[in-house]
Amino acid sequence: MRRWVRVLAMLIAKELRLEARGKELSVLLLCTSIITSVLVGAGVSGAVLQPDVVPRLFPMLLWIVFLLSTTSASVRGNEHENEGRGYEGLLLCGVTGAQMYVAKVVVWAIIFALNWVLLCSLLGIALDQNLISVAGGLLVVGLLASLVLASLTVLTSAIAASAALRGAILPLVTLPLLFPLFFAGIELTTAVMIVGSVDLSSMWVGIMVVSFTLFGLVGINTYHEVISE
Amino acid sequence: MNRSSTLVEVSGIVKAFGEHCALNSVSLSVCQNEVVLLLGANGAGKSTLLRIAAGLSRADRGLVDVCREPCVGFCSHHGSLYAKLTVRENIALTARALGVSPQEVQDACSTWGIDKYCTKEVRELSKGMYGRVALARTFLGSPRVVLLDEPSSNLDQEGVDILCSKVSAGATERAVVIATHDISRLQDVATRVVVLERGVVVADSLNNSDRGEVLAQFYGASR
Repeated sequence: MRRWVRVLAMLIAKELRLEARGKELSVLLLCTSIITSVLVGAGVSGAVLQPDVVPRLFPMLLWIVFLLSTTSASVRGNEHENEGRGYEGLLLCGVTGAQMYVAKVVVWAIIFALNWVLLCSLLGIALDQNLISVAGGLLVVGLLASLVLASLTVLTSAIAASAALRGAILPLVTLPLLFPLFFAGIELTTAVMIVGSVDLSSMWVGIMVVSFTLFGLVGINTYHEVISE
Repeated sequence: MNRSSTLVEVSGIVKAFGEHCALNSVSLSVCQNEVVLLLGANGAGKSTLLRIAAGLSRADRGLVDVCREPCVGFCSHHGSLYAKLTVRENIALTARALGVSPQEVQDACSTWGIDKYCTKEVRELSKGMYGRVALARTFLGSPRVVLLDEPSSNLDQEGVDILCSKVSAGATERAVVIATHDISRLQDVATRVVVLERGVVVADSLNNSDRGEVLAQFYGASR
């Protein structure tokens, strides 16, 4: 068990190092997040909406932008594995697909959570919403959502890695699987905007936990098959 | 030769890519102390056979039994390296996964003449140096089975000499299979020659006592 954890820590460090050098995922995420936030902000501002409507629209807009940016950016997340097929060297020396999957989920979840913070800030400014008082609740929702998203996109991006049209295929495959997360996220974010905190016993948190467990179990048990020929 | 300890045993391997049959009922057993040169024209199925033996690709049919203790040393065309990691980081990754000491990592870097490039990302290296790093990684942890796919294709003579000495040095403890076209530079290190043609083993010096005959047959077929 200690060796399993040691190898996992090594893989997490490797993923962080590769992302820090290549910035495959983070740069694309940053760009799509900024562009879509500006577009949404400009669209809503130009839509001549009553000021009291905007707070009610905010959670949905936040989630649309969050899911679109993360699923489209995840296309690039697997590029460094394909460049020199480094994963093959790891598989041959006993590293399991499960370890590789968990390491990627951890790192991607961190990046997605940072993107969530960025998006909340950008959309908060664009739509003139004061989110400071609900920042704690939003962060909890963002962390939960990032884990669910990472557990799914790590798997789907590896599945789509050799597909010619993966840029288009990946969001199409991933988004329908994220509908439960989308609805749960909107409900939780709305509740946070009203109450200021997350009710951890709510059904929506349960949906996120179940989704994470389900995607995680599938990923752990199939990642090796997915990346092998 | 004592063939009691078989380290690589593939039997009746069939592998197709769509309509193309890459391997058609290939059987090969390699024992400890053997260095096999696997010859064949492009598309003969050499790389496919090695990938299946390494466990990186699955055969459609057939049995694969390869000694995986402590690991399988496999060097592919790609090198199995992370382009944006440095030489040291790439080798350390394998070393830590295998529990190899830092001293052994240092020794490997010195042996392969890559210690000057340790802090360079492997994507910045020449193809020859990239090949050396891939080979250094392959031999880490003293694998009992080493599978090399075109290992000398980008190596200079010094690199080939290091490869040959590395293969010879541990030959009694391991089984080595080298898929290559570089017969002239590698035949001295080989104890056996096997020829693949369109996914079928057509010659094996284990059965034909004269290795020269097998090589002549290969040269004849490839002309």
